[in-house]
Amino acid sequence: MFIALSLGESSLADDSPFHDDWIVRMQAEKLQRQFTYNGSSLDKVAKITIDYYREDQPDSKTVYEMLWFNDGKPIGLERKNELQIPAGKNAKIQVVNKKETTPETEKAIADAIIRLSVDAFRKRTALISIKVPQESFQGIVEAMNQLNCVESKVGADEDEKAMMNFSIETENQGPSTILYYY
Amino acid sequence: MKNSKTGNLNNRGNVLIFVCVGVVILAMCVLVGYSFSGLYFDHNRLQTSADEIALTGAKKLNDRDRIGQINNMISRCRQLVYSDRDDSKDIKKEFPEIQKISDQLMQESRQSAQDLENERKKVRSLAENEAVQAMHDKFDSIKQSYAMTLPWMRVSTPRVIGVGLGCIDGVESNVEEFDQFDELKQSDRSQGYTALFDQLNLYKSNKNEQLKDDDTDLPFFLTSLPAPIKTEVSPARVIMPDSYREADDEPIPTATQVILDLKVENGIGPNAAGTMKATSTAITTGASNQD
Repeated sequence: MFIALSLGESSLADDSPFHDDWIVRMQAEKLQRQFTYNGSSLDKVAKITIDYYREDQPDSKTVYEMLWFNDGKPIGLERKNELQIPAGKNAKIQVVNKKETTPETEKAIADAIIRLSVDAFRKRTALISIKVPQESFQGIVEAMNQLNCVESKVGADEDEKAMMNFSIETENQGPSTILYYY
Repeated sequence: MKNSKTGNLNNRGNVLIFVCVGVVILAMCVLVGYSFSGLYFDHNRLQTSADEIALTGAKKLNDRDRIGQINNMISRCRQLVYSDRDDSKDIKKEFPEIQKISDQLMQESRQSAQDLENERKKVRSLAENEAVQAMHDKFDSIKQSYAMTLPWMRVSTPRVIGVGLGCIDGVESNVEEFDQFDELKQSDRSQGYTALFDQLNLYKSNKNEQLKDDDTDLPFFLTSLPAPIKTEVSPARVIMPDSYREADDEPIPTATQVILDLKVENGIGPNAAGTMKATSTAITTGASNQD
């Protein structure tokens, strides 16, 4: 069964004058001063802070949750609030690097995108696009490939067999792709 | 006249004897006083040394807040597993078509719980070894300054007769109860996993705070560690030894106990010797606010 997170109308929604969409923002940072003891296995810790807001109200952000990853593996969650995007509304994920992009943050973002997509799906919110910084695009796509999200090589009919798809874009008409989870 | 002269001489002789006896008594009093003050000084010094050694070890236990960080991450991982299980149950019921991806996420978080438990054991072993080493190093650096031989007193080199690692009764973990996941919060309260402590609802320490149903096999041990109060971090400090208890196999120790002894002998007269003992207990630096 094909369940589209990226709807056909997404491009229309981008230009919608009604601004009824929601932005789910992911801020990624590598934590430098955590677990710095000798022999630590937790030496690639990245933190993703997720907040959300209505597109026309960027000043009223609500922190949803924080996720911690070690070399791309999720190791912790702190939920701060409910994800109160009304069911049936569209939402766009916007990824922001708090500091410079690193392999750790790219892997963390990749996993966090999948987690958030499942979460949103369960709450009947359609994630219509995922916008990532251009410098992180390749790293995020490769990390998502590692998590079984692949680019389609076989055509539209096969694409419909995917459980989920992820439309990854960059700013300023940079590279973009659609990844599928079968 | 003669008799009178002789009488004066006798009186003078008596005074001399009295003065001599007085000086001897005074000298003995001074000596005894000096010895007692020396003993008192040495005992204080021994206690100070024990305090220093215990404190050095205690500081090392939570060096760079490693215990606070691992405690927080274990509790966050617990929340991650709970959240994924909650999602997984829901998805199984309402959206079975994406069960596979949900299972993948569930597997990731369960694996992380196991990995963190291994990391906790690693931190325990590292903290124990480093703290004991730091205490021995500290002892080595101060023991040489003790040995002293005076005509009336001999002081030996102190000995470490006990080094213990444990925790302090009544100090829970530094992890505050989470506000979200109401069902988990209620379940934790009913199982006695959390307790009100200094106006903070904290997770209790040194017990396996298991999740229910499908995740009971995952260990979630939190260590006893003073929580920060707003931005105030509890400093490492010497405390009364009554509340100290030895750690068993599971928890990471957050307190140290040191027992020193010191042999003292007199140097004049019949040989008399005694051994002074000093015990000191210290608790490690509390957790910082976490990133």
